[in-house]
Amino acid sequence: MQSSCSTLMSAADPSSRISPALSPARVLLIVAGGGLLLWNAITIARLGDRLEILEATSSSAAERLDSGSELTARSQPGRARPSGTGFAFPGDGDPVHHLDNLKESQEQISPAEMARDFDSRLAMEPANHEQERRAQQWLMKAQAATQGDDAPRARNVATTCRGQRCLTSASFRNDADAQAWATQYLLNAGGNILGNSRTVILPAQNGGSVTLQLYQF
Amino acid sequence: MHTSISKSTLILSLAFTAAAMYAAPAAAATKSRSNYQNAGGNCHAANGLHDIERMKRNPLGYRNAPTAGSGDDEDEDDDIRSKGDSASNTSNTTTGNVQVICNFAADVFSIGNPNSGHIIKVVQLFARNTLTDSDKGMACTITAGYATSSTNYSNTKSMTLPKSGVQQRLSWSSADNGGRYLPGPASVVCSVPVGVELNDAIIVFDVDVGS
Repeated sequence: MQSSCSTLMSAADPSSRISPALSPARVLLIVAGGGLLLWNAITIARLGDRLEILEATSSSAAERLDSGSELTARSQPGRARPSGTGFAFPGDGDPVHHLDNLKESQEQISPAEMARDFDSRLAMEPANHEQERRAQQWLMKAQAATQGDDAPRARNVATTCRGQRCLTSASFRNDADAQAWATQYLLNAGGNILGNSRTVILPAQNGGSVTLQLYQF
Repeated sequence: MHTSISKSTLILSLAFTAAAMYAAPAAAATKSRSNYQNAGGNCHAANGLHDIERMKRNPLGYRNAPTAGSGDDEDEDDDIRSKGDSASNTSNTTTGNVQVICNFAADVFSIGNPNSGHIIKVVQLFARNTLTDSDKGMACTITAGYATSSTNYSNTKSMTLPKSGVQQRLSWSSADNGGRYLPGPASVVCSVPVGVELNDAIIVFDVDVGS
């Protein structure tokens, strides 16, 4: 410790001189040599890092194939990942876990919660009677066209508009019928007045019909 | 003649050299990537029977083919727009629009905006009218996101496909979603009129290409 302190002190001492034999050419040689050694060390360290990533990628892929954990992980997005595999940032080669993490980071809410959210947005929308009238007329045509297509039969169809938002609700036998009808209805509406949409299907209560809540905005 | 150099100058020189030779990690660079596909292999009728009975595939497209009285247009040249004889095919047509779904492969590692949930920059779908009798209107809805996600995005657009047969496109981008990229993955559903052919389609996303 004492010796290193004295070395530092002498290095900082401007009166201290090195041997006259240390010419500028030798100094340059020493500097270049030192730099080369440092560069080699950095390169080796980087290659080591890449090798570790490759090893981790191949072993985690093999684990997934062996255990079939890929399907399990997708069906249970909220579960903890297997030990030894951390969050996968872009570039580290673990797309399945990256997708798991992506899904975990996104809020997943129930259809009922989503419907409440969009209902409140509709209620807060500033009224615009002319806009509402035009949208309702257009959606009535879309509804008539959809009933004429081979889309599933809808019951209790009702449309409400407020400002730049509309809600079309209807009842169906099942989820698949509701989805098919909504898809056809949106295509018939053509996005000409309200392009954006969110389809919410509320599950059947006590074995009854499902309810479609189709929000357009 | 030798020039004397102080130790401090030597140490400073070494430190400067080391710093100059060490390449500090640069900021991550982002580039756009795309998947570009033809509809002939990438799109399917929502109704499986329509896929067999009403739609025709060729390397460049997927078409709602007018069905002649004979019920068979296998000999029809897909690259020649229907004129003359095929006009009678149109008059014998008994089919209507067909609902078609096209898939767009994205990359889960792509860079999101504003977050990793919103990864699709642009989706474009090209189509043309293969009949000369009239212009055709076609509506398509993009649905971006996965089942049960609270951030799913849907947007419907329409376009007119002229009887001249010139290709037209529908395009969805962050401009349609308040500046945010669209969530992935994405599918497009179209109500394809008789004589209309879906052609090429592209999806664009950003990826981190390192420093």
